[in-house]
This record gives sequence, structure tokens and C-alpha cells, in this order.
Amino acid sequence: MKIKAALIAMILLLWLIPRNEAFCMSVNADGSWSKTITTSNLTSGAGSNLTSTYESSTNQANVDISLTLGILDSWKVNVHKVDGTWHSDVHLYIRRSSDGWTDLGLGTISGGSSYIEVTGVAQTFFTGSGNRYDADVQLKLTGISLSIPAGTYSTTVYLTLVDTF
Amino acid sequence: MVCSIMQVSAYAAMSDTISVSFTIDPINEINIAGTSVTLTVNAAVAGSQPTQVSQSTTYSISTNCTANSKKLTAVINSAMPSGITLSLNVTAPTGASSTGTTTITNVAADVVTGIDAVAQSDIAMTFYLNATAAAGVVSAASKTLTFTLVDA
Repeated sequence: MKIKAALIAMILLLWLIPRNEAFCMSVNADGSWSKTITTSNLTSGAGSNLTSTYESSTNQANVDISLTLGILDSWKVNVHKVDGTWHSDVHLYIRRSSDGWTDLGLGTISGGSSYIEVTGVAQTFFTGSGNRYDADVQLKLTGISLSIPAGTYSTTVYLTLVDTF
Repeated sequence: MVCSIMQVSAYAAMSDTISVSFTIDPINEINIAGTSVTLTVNAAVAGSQPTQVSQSTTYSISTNCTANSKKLTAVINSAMPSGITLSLNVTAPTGASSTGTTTITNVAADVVTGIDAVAQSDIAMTFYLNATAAAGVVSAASKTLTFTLVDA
């Protein structure tokens, strides 16, 4: 009985107290966004330009942070993009549109609820602690116009989890 | 047991990706203001051919074509009667060139060339109708003009 209690206490302790093993955490992002812009996106027919800004649905993608060592195990998610074919007039923004949920309602999440521009340089998107599931992500494109030749443009948004201990 | 679980998690992903793409379709839209233009030649200066008449309207254009890759042509659905000439002068949108006053027949004629990506409205275009005395009295007739944005 004492051995069992001690084992349970040890597991709880490992769950509650962060350790310095950065390698445990995992980030998983599900979702993608593909937007098609047509004649129907002219602001007022012939003679007008294209609507310049497009937003995805609020749950276009979602992010899980898992395998943390407990609710005190803090982390941050950085974001940057690597362009395939892209156009320099077009800017991509990202925001966190929900908090998602946690184990037992514990843990924290903050930041990232306002749009930030995603560039080629990593920057902090949001921070938190403990496991986090289904934090929704919304995306926005700006700078669309008729000056951009017809074609398909793509980029890959990287969400990188950093253990901040 | 706990240690073995933690060993497995050492290989967990530290980054993941979201793919974002957008596609812009070819956009080539033009619109002529109004639906009809009426031209009536009914006067002349003694000793001269009947007096030319004209009427102006405007058009609007939106295109995302590459530089100098489009032109505007104009054509009517059937030939004009003998001795009657329909002409059109189309002001070019920014970056393009007008061919000036151009006779319009039932064979497509260029009226603007060298069109770039542009969004511009209310651009002037003027129709002219000329008749020779030899044409005589011609009953009213209608023609359908087709104004087309095509590859240069």
C-alpha cells in the first residue's frame, strides 16, 4: 500500500513540477488554408480592384501542445514562414482565435489573440504552460490586388515549440 | 515505467506546419456604360458630304494580365451599308495605347493595345458615323458592337 501511494505521489510530482528536459514536449498543427480569388472578388465589377484582405475561418487550423511535464512546464510557440512561390505585395497574418482546452482545466495560454504578421523570421506567437489541445488558429491575407499576376502562391507556416522551463 | 515513457517522448515533434496558398484566377472584365448609342446623320453643309455625327460614352476595365499582354478589339455583327462608316475612338487605360479613331466593321479591329494590369473606370470612348451623299437615304438599322479584351 505504501509503495503504491509513493508511486502515485511520484507520478503526480512529475506531472506538476516542470523539469529541464526540453525534448519532451510536442506540437501538432492540423489544418491548411487555400483561398481562390476570382472575378467575383472585384469590389464593384469592371473598373474596380480586387478586395485586398481575406480572412480564413476562425478555426482554420488548430494546435495541440502535448507531452509537457505538467501544468508548470512552460513553453512558447514561435511562428515563421518559408515561402514557395509567393508575391511580395501579399502579407500573411496569424492569430490564435481560441484558448483550446487543457488537462483538468489547468495550465495557461496567453498572447497571440491579435494578428501578427508571419515573416521569414521566427517570432513568439503565444505562450503557455501544460498541455493544450485544439487552440484554434485564424489566418489573414492582405495586399491582394490586380497587380498580382494570375497564378497560385504558397507558403508554409512553421509553428515551433520552445520549452521555456 | 515513468522513465521509459519519458524516453519515448524524447522523439516528439518540436515543430509542425500549416500550408497556406492562394490562387488568383485570370481576371479580364470590361463593361461599356449604357446599352445603346444612337447616331443619326441628317445634316450637311452645302457642297460637302453629310456632316459627321458622334456620341460618347465610357467603359471600365479590370484585368490582372501581365504587361502588354492584352488588347481591346471591336467588331460589329454585320457590315455597314454602302457609303456608311462607323468609327470608334477609345481612350486607352493607363499604360496602354489607343489606335485612335478606327473604322469598325464586321472584322475585329484593334482599338487599344499594350494593356497592362489595371483597374480603371469611366474611360472615354466616342462613336462616329459618317455617310457619303452617294449612300442616299438609309433606313434606321441597329448593329451590335462587341468589345473584347483578348490576348495581344
